Amino acid sequence: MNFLRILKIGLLLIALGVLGLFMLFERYEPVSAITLSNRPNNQNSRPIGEITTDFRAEQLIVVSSILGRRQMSYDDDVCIELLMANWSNRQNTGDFAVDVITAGETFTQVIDAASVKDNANRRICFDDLQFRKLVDNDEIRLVLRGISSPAGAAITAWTTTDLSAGRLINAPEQLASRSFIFHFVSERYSASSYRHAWIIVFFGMLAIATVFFPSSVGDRQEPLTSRSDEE
Amino acid sequence: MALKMFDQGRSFSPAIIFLAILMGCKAFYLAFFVTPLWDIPDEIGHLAYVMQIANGGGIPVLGDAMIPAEIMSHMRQADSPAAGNWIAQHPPIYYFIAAVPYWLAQQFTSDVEILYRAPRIIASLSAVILLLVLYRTARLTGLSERASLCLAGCIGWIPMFSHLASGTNHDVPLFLASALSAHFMARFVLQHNVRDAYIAAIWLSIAGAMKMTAWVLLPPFVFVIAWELRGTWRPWLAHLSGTTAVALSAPLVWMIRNFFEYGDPTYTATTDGTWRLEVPLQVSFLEFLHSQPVLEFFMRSFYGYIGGIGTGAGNLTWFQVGSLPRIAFTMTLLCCAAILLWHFSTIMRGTTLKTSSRFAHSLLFCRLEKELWPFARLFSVVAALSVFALSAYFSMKGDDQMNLRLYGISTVLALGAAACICVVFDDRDKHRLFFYGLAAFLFFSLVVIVNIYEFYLLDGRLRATHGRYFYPVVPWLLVSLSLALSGRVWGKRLLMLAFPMLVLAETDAYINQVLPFIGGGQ
Repeated sequence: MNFLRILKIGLLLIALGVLGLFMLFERYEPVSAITLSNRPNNQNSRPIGEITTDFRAEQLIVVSSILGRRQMSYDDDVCIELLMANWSNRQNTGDFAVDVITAGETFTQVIDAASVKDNANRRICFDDLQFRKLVDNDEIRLVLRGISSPAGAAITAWTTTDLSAGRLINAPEQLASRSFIFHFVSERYSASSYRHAWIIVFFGMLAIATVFFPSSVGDRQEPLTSRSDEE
Repeated sequence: MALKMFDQGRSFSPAIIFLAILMGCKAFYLAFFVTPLWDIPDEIGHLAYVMQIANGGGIPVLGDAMIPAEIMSHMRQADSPAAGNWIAQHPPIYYFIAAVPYWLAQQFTSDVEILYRAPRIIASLSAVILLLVLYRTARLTGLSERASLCLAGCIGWIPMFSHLASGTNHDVPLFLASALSAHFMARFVLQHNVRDAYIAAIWLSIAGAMKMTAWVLLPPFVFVIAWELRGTWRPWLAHLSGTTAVALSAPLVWMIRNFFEYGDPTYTATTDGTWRLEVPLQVSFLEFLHSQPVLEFFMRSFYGYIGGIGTGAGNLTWFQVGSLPRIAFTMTLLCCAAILLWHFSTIMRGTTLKTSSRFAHSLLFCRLEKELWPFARLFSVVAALSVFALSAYFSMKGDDQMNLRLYGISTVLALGAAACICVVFDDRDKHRLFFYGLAAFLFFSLVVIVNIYEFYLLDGRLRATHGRYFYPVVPWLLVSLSLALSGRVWGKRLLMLAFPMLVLAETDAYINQVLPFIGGGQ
């Protein structure tokens, strides 16, 4: 084996190694989101309106009617995924808040309006909101309130007429029979997931390496000749 | 020796052997360490079938067959009663094979986490052998070693295929049996050795004894044999009857069993089911295509439909692989469609019409083919354009005008329509083989989609749009693609780009979407 060949193989292995590391560091997603409740269907979807400074919308949720049977620990943290929009990627400013209110506690997350993507689920996680606090309360409230976004630069949330996850309360007439489009999730970090990712990337890089294996018959493509060609 | 097939020397290059082993390691690792139990489609039913055979319970009877309480409880992670097993509708060959590793595992352990996974080995091994078979078939059509390796690898690194290869299910073994049948059928068309036709028939029969979906391939297969056999009417009739009888044998046994068991030879779990709608929908086939994302769902689930009832502990929880990996798949699909179209047009320009020794051909035309060919060529173009327009227009939904996947699959279906006409005229073996793949794909697709349509009328919902249902016909289409790529230097280069791209896509799909979905696996 001459030097040039060794160099080529070495460079190939380095390139594949770099590619594998890039995938692991850039593409590996360590967080698993376990879905805890079914999301209402998009029926007659409509934005709730701009979430400006004085805006407030509140939804009553009967927890037992939306949480399915899941393999959950009572100490698992719970997040909410809310379908939001930013008016076709316009520049929005200011902040808004999402509250989850249980019988004894209020959990709040303040969010920068500029960080909301258009027509995408926004995952909102709360400090100390565990699964037990959801199931211990049969009724909870989900509140969306504006803080500092001006009109013309505020985001919005989508609503639906599917009321399977509750309905908006204390709302104007046009929103009375509507619901936010949301579901609860639980984020989990799995130690084994990273090991799996390493091994899957390793298999992938080895598979790509096979393309560069030397061919046993010179790797030529010859025109196929069948009997009909010679008749 | 008329056929120059590069069969001399080693049958398999070291690279494809290494790639197949790699596929096996990947599938094995996924099966035992990553893919959660019951996240493979219908895995509880498949395992219950396997267990019944392994424990000497014989072939289960639909209606009486049960999924044991131990499986249901494991799946729901709570005490649960036994439930009916709808998977008992399937023929038993796969389950006899999968019962072997289950029975062996039983001799060494009672740990259900190992026992329930033991039959997964069969799908993993099938995936390994499948890659070797696809490689050999590609070599048969004239592709170089490296290009053949890439073509086989493209299938092995589709997330849905890897997912199924890591589970207890009959789809990957069915894919293997169908690929073997397609391989020997291609050999028969190119070499005219009638022994290959019989071997192809045996494998098709085995495929039909794994899943009834493979029965759809019987009409195209019988047509190919009838059209390709040489000689006078006596050997023609003898071999046509012989190969048809062989191909039909296992399905026929299953039909007879069904007839005596249920009074209906094609009895399935849905045969006498109660449907959701009291009054069936009054919707035409084209309206159905227009209102429901049929082709789109088939293609998405062909690439990646991950999940089941394991992660959701009894609740159906799944997702379709999307984002960058699906874009890579779309690009590959579009390239394949363009290559098939290019090759088709090349053939149309250079079609040769010669006196044929094929019995059916001489019987049909009586030397009139030269007069008929100009009309047939025009008709094939009209047929292709019509099918493309219908398929593309009626499959587009709302904002999907630039859905490239639909354009790609519509092109392949359209070429199938033209191939049905051209195959009757062309006298070059490799051209007809190319046409057979396309025409069979169209036939198979139509049968599957019409079936889905009939369910839709009765149920009111689009159901069973699983891309894996196409596994029996994919090898036929791959033969056509191999022929289109062979002899073209850019064909090899294209495959050398597509394969690494699909590997990266699948790797990305697993580390970015699948692992987070299954919570790191089990």
